[in-house]
Amino acid sequence: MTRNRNRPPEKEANAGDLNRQSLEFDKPFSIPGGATLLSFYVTKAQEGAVQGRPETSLRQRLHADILQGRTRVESASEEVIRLILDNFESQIESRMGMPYEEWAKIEVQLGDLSLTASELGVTEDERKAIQEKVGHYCEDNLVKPMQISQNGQLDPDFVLELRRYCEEKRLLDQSDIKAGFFGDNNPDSASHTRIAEDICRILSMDRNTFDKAVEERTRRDQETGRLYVDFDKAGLLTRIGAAATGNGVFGKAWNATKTKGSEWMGKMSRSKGESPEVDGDDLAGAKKRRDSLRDEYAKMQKKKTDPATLQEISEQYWAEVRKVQELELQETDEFKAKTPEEQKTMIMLDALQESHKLAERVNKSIVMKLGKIGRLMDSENKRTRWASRIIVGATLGAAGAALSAFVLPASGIGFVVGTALSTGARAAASRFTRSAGEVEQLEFAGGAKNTDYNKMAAEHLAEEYKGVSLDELGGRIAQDQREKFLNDKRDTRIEKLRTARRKAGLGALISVGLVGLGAAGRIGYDLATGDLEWKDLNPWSGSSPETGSPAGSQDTDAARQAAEAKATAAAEAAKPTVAPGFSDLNPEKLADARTVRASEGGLRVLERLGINPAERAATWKDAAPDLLNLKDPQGRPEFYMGPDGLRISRPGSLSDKALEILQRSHDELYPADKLSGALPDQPTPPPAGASEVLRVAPGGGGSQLLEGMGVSPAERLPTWNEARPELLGLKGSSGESLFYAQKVNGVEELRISRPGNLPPEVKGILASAHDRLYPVDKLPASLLGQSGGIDAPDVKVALDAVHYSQLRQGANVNALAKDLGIGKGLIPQWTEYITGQVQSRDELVSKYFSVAQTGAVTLRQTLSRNDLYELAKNMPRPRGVFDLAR
Amino acid sequence: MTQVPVQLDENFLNDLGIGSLPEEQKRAFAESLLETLQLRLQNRLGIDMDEAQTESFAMLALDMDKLPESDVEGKQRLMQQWLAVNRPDYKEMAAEELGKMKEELLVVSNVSSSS
Repeated sequence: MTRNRNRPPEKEANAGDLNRQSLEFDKPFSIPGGATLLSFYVTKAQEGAVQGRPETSLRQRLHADILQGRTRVESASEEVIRLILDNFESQIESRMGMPYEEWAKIEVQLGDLSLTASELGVTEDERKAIQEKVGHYCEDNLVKPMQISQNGQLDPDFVLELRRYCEEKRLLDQSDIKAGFFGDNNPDSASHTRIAEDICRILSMDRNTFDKAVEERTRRDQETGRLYVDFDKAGLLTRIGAAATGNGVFGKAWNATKTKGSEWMGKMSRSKGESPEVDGDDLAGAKKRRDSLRDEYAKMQKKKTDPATLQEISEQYWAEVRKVQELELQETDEFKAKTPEEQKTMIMLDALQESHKLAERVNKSIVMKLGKIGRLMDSENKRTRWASRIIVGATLGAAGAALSAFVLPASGIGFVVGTALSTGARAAASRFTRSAGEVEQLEFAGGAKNTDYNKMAAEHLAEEYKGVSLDELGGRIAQDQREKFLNDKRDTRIEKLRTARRKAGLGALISVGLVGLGAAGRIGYDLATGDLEWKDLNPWSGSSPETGSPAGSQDTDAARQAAEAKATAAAEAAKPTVAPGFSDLNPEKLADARTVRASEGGLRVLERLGINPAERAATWKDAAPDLLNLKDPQGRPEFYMGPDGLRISRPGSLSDKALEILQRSHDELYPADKLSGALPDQPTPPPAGASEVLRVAPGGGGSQLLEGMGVSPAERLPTWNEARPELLGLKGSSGESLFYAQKVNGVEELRISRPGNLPPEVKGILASAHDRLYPVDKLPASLLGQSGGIDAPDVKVALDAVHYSQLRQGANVNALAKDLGIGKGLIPQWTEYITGQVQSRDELVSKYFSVAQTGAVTLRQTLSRNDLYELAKNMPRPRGVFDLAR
Repeated sequence: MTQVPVQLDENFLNDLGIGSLPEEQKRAFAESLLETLQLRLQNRLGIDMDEAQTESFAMLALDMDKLPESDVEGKQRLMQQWLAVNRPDYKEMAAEELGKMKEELLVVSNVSSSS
């Protein structure tokens, strides 16, 4: 196994030790944690753990790391990383039966809801519903404590990592953290004692203190009714306090020190400014009941429960709120010292807070529901689910603000009107930018788009990371990254990081959200790699700290010059240009065609530039060597070589030079289909006899042509091949070849030379070819020339495909035939017909599944079964023996 | 007799028994109340929407999103139009929700309502 030669030798020896030393808890945003985790994977990989099925803890950590964007290659060769990642993804895909990226999206949702379940109040039922979506995986793995490594030893690195994470997220206080590093579900596990000892050793804590911390955690859990806290959106669920259930070692320890522990707890509470001890059982019970009623009340509100029931639960809920307040407040000296009016105000403010908490729960689910409106996420808008939620949240927030203004008097306490209207939308949106905001930031940072949501996200983050200025944070991250980079050849390092990152599926995750350190780390990382610049983060900070300048731009003058050059280039780019080879595209259209959107690839761009589907991959490949040499005005590569070929480095506008290279490559490969001068910017007005003219759209091929003629999908390719000899002989008005032949994988295929209008005889040739091949499916004259809509052949083939599919899935042939109105005597012939049109099983599957996708699925989605039959029955076409619509 | 819609005014605070608090405290209380009210009104709006209104709301969201951030008036106009069509009782709804909040606060603070 090849190790990274550029890595310092001491890191080679024991990455875990090094990282343990470098973890400084007073610097919560230092980056080495990612490397720590990865070093763990690598160790496991080297031990052979990733061969076959990765062990649970490895997989979970890896997953967490991927989702957090912290995967690094410092401590492993790419070979090892690839091995791990490949294995991980394939495991997920095979177990979950869905693409990894899709699963990751659901998983993030799940993580989000898990967090919400304990922190924001999504009910257990809702959470379970989501869990069902991802099957048994969560039950088996995610909820299972995972900080104990396979051999039963607590992994010290992970303890530190977890502690650091807790501190960063400010989720738990110190005593929580100390008490929280256990969670073996099995109370009889012999590893408990060892774990406790490990924790004490790692955290330099004496056992007595540890036991007390456990006790405190337990008590708090009992009070709140929470058995665990989920604190990682990546699904890194850690069960805190689960072991302290009265069983096992911790439970025993708790029992043994109960009295002393209670005293200690009382001190702890008072020292934190909380109320002195009250009757624990009463308060705990009241809180439990209040929380439970809150859950119930929120659930009912979401479900439009009838008013009487709502009223009933509301009364119970508020009564319980009142009881908790009484217990909490009335015995405190501070409360007693207040005037009656002030006491009342305190109680009501507390109640408002409670009301707000309840409303927030309902609100989040409403925004999530509204954010799913398809219209918000259509392809035109290219909006992510999170972005949709932000928009909906903002609009709903504006509505709430507008509505609330109506309860304000024209005079009197109108002082809040201004702030209410200006902050309402923002407050609503910011709740949904917790994870989406950073994503938006990254998505739009390339200059593709900038919205006020970025600002809101930035503000939210600023609030979340109070005490650490963003400049400082970013600077720290960037500095850290830069130092790492300086130890290696920059290009090599960037390439490796990119490979690892992309392999890890982070591209997909950009659309679903990253949180906390992960996002900050990614931004820092992107700054360091030059993918992102400080000025791109303008809504965050507005200025660039020295330490935050991109790695590689070590010379300030050079950086300034680059920035100036970029500004100049941007100004130039804003002017309408005509790129070589695309002179017939008007500037406006060209500007759109050459614009690379976030997550788009080169083939999509080539499509917009009007290059035929069959020619795109070869063009892209051919142009790759030249494109790789291109740099943007900042000196950054415009393209890079990804694991599966050439990639575009970032969203934005492709340079003229890039277009020129693409055009040249294309035209050299396809001389008969030259781009130059061939791409009309507007549809050419049809000549006389328009119905007889076939128009070929840019990027369109023979299949589209035949589709427009009403030829069913399964019949298009044979028809196209059948017509080839005649079509190859056709010439245009200037004597140019309208079609040409090209060998693909040794097979000669027919191609259309260029977009535009084809003469009427093309249609005649194609129709004849089709009817020769498919006499029972002759194209009726009335259908020829029609495009769009649904025609008889499509319906027939689609239905055939559906029926074939049903048979394959085990449908009873007799029942199906009866359902379709096919007489018993015809069943053998019908099944032969359905299955006998192809020679081999593979061909059969491929053909019909393809057809089903393009035809039946669409039809099924839009038409009822009866509609389909009616449609088929009424089609004016010759009927075959097995025409189902007789 | 026409009932006067509940408003967040001095009477409201008096009814809650905190009318004689210093202005600063009243302001803080009112702001806090208004913030929660906004959220609750959002919820009412969202829960009560039927399918067509939901679609229409999506269009509103897109339309508002297209306006520049500074065009507050434009956004408010769109919102008002949408409310007028889809939730014509919006003023009553706002007052009603405030009334509910008042009742809840009275229950919690154990003061009988005087209104």
